[in-house]
Amino acid sequence: MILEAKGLQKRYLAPVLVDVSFGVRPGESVALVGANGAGKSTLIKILLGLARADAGEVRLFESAPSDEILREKVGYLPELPGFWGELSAVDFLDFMGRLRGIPARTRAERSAKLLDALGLKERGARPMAGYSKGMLQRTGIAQALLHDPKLLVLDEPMSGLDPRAQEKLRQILLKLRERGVSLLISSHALDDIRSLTDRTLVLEKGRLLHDGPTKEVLDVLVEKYRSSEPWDEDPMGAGTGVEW
Amino acid sequence: MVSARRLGAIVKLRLRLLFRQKLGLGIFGALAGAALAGRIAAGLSWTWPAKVHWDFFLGINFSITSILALYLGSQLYHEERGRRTLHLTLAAGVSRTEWLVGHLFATWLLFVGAQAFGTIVAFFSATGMESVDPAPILLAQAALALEYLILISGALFASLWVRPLLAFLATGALTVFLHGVDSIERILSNEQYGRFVDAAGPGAALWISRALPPLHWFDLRDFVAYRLPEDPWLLAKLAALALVWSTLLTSAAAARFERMDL
Repeated sequence: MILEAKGLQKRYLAPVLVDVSFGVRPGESVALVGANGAGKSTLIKILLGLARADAGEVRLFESAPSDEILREKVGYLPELPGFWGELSAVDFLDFMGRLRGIPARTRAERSAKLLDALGLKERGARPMAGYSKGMLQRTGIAQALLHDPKLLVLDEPMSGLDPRAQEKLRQILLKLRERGVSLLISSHALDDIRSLTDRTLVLEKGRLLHDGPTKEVLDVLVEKYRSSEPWDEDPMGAGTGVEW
Repeated sequence: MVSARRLGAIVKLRLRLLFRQKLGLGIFGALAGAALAGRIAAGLSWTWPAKVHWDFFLGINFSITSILALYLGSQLYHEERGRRTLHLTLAAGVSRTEWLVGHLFATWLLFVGAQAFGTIVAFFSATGMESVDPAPILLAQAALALEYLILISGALFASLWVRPLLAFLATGALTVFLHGVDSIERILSNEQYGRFVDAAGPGAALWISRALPPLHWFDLRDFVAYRLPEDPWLLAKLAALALVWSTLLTSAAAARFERMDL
């Protein structure tokens, strides 16, 4: 297993993760699905050592997670990254490359290639303070891919991207998948999950509710969503005087 | 393991960010302004203009930089966490200790640079006045630069427990108290005022202050324009003290940071 989680438990004021176990095999592409507050981001943070589990174990590349493994083998895109507005995307990628120990020449070449592929070549030298949400997201994706990772963990990668950029990113991720890079993608976009992943994990109130082939799991999910009320309480319902 | 290469990259980045922010450059401007204010005050004085100039400059320098050192120290963690750049940096294999030490050291370097700049401007603005021995001035400035190490690491440590504003205010109040503790003790020990130092409250406060960094030792402004302190090893001793206290505070901050969920 390239990534393995065993019996993860986390509690803040209420339980956030309850006995979550799963694994990601080399070359496998896995989706992490769940409603807001289901525990997806907390799970990702625990996998990357940004938060600590109350109980359970994480293994990355058959060993305990370490800074070295993270540096060399894992790429990560957090949800809604902000970045340093004072820097340009080129400077930012150079910094991230330095941290990961990529030689200067390789850093420059890969940065240029990624910025070009993600449509940021023209604006790459300008301060990121002037970037749109989509441009920041693309810059975040570039830094996650900079060191050619074996495992890519993406928290809402399509968030803020326009349809063209979404399609471009989809193509890049499909290519990475073909090259054997493992993907763990947290997303709400069912179409992306369908096209990009082999397996889907569904988290609900901190519990792993489903773990199976994407098509099967999504069919169950879609059916479940169709048969349920959109919200537990109708905000425009009785008493508001508003008729639908 | 702490790597010099990664530390260097973090220091360089933080310095770049500080220089591109209004506040970073503002420190340089404020200290140049302090030197000019000293010159103006000296021009209005009828006693000893050179002494007034340096007293004015060093006093404003001390106030501005102490406030800003505490402010920047208490903002570092929260600013990086809010932007999620902290998550990105740590997920790129940077250890939490590297992150803390790198940002702290860069912030300290900024203040040392700004102070050196301000001092040079102050020497220029003192031209035409009666000359004073520069050695006590440089010594006072070096001692203050060492104090920044304690202030920044203290504010950073406090900010890992409470909100940045509270960390700033608490460390600010503590800094004022620790700078005045010597005078407070003298007043409280005076027989004329009933030796309040023996009372439970003030006695406990003074006792606690002895377990905290003796910041008043770093304030050597009284020597300026008069004489050098007698102890030739004073600066070396202050450097060792600053290093010990900032290491203690940074280690405590690192221990806390290691356990935090981001």
